[in-house]
Amino acid sequence: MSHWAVRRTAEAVALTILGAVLLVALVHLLPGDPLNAIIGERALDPATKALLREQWGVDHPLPVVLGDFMVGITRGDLGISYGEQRPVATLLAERLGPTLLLGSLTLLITFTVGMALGLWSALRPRSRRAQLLGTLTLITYTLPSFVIGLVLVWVFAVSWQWLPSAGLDDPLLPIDATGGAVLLDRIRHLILPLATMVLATIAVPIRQQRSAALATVAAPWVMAARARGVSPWRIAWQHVWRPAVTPVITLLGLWLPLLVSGAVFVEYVFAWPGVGALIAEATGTRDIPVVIGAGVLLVAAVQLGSLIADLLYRVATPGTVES
Amino acid sequence: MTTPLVEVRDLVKHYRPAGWFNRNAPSIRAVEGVSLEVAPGETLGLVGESGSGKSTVGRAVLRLEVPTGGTIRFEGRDLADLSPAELRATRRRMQVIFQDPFGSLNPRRTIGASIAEGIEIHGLAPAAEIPARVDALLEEVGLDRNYRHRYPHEFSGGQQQRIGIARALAVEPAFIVCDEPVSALDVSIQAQVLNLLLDLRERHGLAYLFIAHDLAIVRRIADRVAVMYLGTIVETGPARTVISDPRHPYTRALVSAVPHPDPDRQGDRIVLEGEPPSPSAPPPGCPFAPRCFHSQRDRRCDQERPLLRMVEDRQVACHHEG
Repeated sequence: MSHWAVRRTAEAVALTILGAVLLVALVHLLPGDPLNAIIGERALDPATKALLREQWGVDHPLPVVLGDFMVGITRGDLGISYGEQRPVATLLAERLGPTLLLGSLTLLITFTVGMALGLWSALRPRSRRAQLLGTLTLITYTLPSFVIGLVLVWVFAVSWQWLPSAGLDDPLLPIDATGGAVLLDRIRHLILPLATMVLATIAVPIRQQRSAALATVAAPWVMAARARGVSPWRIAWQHVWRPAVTPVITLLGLWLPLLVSGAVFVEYVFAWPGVGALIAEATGTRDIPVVIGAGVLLVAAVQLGSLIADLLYRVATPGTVES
Repeated sequence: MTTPLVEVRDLVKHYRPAGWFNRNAPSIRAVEGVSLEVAPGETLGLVGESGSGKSTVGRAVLRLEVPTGGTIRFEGRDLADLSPAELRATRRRMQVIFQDPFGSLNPRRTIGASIAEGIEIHGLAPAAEIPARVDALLEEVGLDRNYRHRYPHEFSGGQQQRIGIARALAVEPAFIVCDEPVSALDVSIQAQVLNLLLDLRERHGLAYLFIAHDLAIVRRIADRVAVMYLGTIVETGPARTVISDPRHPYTRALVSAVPHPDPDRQGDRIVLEGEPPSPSAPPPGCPFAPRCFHSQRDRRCDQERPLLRMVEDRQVACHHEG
């Protein structure tokens, strides 16, 4: 087990480095001059232009760019944003907090509630309420997240004016506000984007868990457990859910990167100052150091996600031997 | 005669078809009025082809399915009258062994945990003694006690079936429904598992409802036999005489299909024409009439359902026997 964990971790680190190298190389090979995108139509004298080109390393050959990047990353230096003229690492760090907050709550709710509802509907597949749930999940699955977000904004923020529609907190909040007031304000700002994220994602774990549990609920070992007089709760947990959890773990592994990448559309709709919105802005302005920095963060997150999923998978399937 | 351990009266089980588009489709009449009894320590063989309703009877007897009609009494108590908690407590006395050895075991639990579960939930031993109980059960079914920490996929089909038997024995039952317990196993393994079931019956005074389609196996284990066709019992009586001298045409066809070790003594095989009628639209008369080859078969067979009648040492549901 420990031997396996070491090997699997080394694999994840190697893949992250490879991914980062590919990312830097691909962005470098893209056509177009980032300088023009930032300076725009403003006239600059050739001397200044040349100075900026040298300063930003725009004309360096690929091996030099890669070398600089690798040296920088060991020191936690991801370069300087063209647009903001601030370190990329600082920019990402600022945006990571709000994204982590939204992402972790989303995954927590989506997966716990999703697994519970999926299991519940598999235990009584012919009931009216389970069939209604199936229809509802199909609807939320079909709707894009920004549509759900806009509808929620329209209903709760515009029509009824119950909740704020944008940002992380209220800029008009008094500076000397108590901790409780600040927390309440943050929660009020969190509700709509969180509801949007949960509604946009929960259909998948519900349906995944439901179909896996439908297979185990019909298994002879479940009937044997009933014949032994095992209680319905214990049957649901021990004999139906536990053997049906692996597909959901796979899904969780695929979605864990959401924690750091953020959901671009949702962050955009709710002006949530997260990584997703940062990626959208940086791509639009060709702020290459930011694009690369965020990209590397994402690559690492994907690797970490699948590493965690593999670990959970081994916990959930005891006794399986490695091939 | 002693009071029966299990007493089934006029059991009926109909299934409503599932789905939005089948709401008005006719019900599937899996079991149509089956009565049977099993005495303590006795083995009743329940025989019939696929779809005859024999497994449904087995599941209804254990109240794993709620019957559409009829009563099931276990140790004199009507199972329908029991509260959910009382029913769970009663389940300790009646167990089941399934056809699919691997599917019978939860793949995510060690076999020790599977065997121990029944002992735990019914409080049959103090926690400290449970591992020793599990070891003893494993040895009783012919497995090594060190296997306790292994998972089901690490065993062969025959071993898995032994584990399923140990798990059933763990709660100290008086009655076990064996639903085709050996038909998924290799022939060489079948005999071993069958012998194990015979030994255990002897040692614990178990009663079996032994469901099978193979008459050769039923002849080895059953005291009495009941032959099912399309949800009804068509012939029932002592296993030895029913199998050596069948009276109902369907039983005769079944018996003729059993291979005899001596080819010269193999009688002519009766090959039935056609398929059994659909259980959602059974014929009004004898369910076997559409395929019947009886020399006296007449219009009455198509119009009137024959009831079980005493014929010598057994009961037969045929207008023209006895």
